[in-house]
Amino acid sequence: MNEKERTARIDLPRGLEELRSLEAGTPLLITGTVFTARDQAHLRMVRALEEGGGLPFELRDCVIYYAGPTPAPPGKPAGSLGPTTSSRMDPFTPALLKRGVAAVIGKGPRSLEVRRSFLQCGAVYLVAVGGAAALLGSRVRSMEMVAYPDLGAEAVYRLFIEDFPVVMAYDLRGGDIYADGGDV
Amino acid sequence: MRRISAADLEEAVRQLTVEASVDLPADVEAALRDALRAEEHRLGKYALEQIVENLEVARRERLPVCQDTGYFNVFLEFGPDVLLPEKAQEAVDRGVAAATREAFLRASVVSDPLLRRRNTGTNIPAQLHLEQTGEEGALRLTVMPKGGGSENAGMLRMLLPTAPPGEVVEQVVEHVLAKAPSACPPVVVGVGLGGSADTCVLAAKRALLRPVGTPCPYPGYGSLESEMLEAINRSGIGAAGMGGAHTALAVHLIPLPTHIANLPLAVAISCHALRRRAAGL
Repeated sequence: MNEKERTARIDLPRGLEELRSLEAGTPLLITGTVFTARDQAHLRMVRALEEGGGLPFELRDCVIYYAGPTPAPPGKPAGSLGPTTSSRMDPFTPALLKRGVAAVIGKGPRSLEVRRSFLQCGAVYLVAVGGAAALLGSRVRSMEMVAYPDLGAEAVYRLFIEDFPVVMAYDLRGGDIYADGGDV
Repeated sequence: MRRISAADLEEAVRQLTVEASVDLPADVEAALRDALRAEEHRLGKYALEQIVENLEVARRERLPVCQDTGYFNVFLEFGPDVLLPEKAQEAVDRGVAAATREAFLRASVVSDPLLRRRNTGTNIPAQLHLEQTGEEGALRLTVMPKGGGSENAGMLRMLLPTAPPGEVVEQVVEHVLAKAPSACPPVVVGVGLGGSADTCVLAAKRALLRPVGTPCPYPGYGSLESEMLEAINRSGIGAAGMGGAHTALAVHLIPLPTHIANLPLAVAISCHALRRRAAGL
């Protein structure tokens, strides 16, 4: 089977159930709203959860994208926008997954604890190709800063992405592309 | 004596910074296209297709190749009769800041590492490395932006001076296999061997400047580079860590004179977006 035939198309939030049913190693194209958050935004969100402060977006059924964009050039909705290394967010991830995050988009393997947390919380881990940032940025239709403006590129942005290419990395049956190298 | 003006230095840095950010060098692009042609693993091929398509999008749209537009390494090699401007660091910084605005690069540099971490907003200060060469009248300038993810994959170990070549190979391979999945493979591996703890790390980074696909210039070390590369690529980690035969494009080693009690070993890893531009001035 070639790649185009097995690529799943997921529209958010309607396609969340289908997303949860996909197997590790499946390429998919995502259309819908996601929120960017990376190191400092994670630190602030987890502190807010501990201290009862407000969160920049509703965590239940949301999709978080570990990314910090380049500024959008004039006339473009976004600049370059690829994934950053997920494992740096490992210390903060379980606390967010427990609040009902549906999926996370990043790159690279996670700790065993975080891997278990995805399964326990019913969340899936998706990966985009690190460094394919101009290509991935061209699939962003709108980008709006919604929290932590003082963090600049590390602020939280609401993105509307269209046909955004990712691969299911950790599915809900324990499948893991990093453990077995995928379905060869 | 040949005098270089601050304005000329600034302008050269600005141009090289912009070009390095949006257009990958020909040697790296050729290595990535070769990898795509040869890769048979389903997901490894999927990743390489996007990596190569990304280069085309970036060049066409004049967008940064990666959203992590990096921390800027600037290497200045100057001949014995070349007089650099008095405030070379300031001229270089003005060039980097101008390129950051012009090419819509991400501001990724903080002025303080721990207590404040305030973003400088302009990607300065650049990391300036000066080296005097023997070539009369020559000034060569190289700009190499390097992303933070692959920089986190760096390493320094002080081996015993009696360690055999096999141990050096083993330590490099073990380290690269642990770090490569998160460092945007296929990576290029720079290895510094010898010197002291500080110069060894810089040699590892300088090794990334050698064009990918060119033979090792140090007699006897080429076979060690090949041995490391083959072991890394046997791992099956593959492009984007998604599987396949292309975890690294090359291993480049620089050996340095060292102390009788020392054998420093450093590794600098570049992601597949190995960005660099050089020009004579």
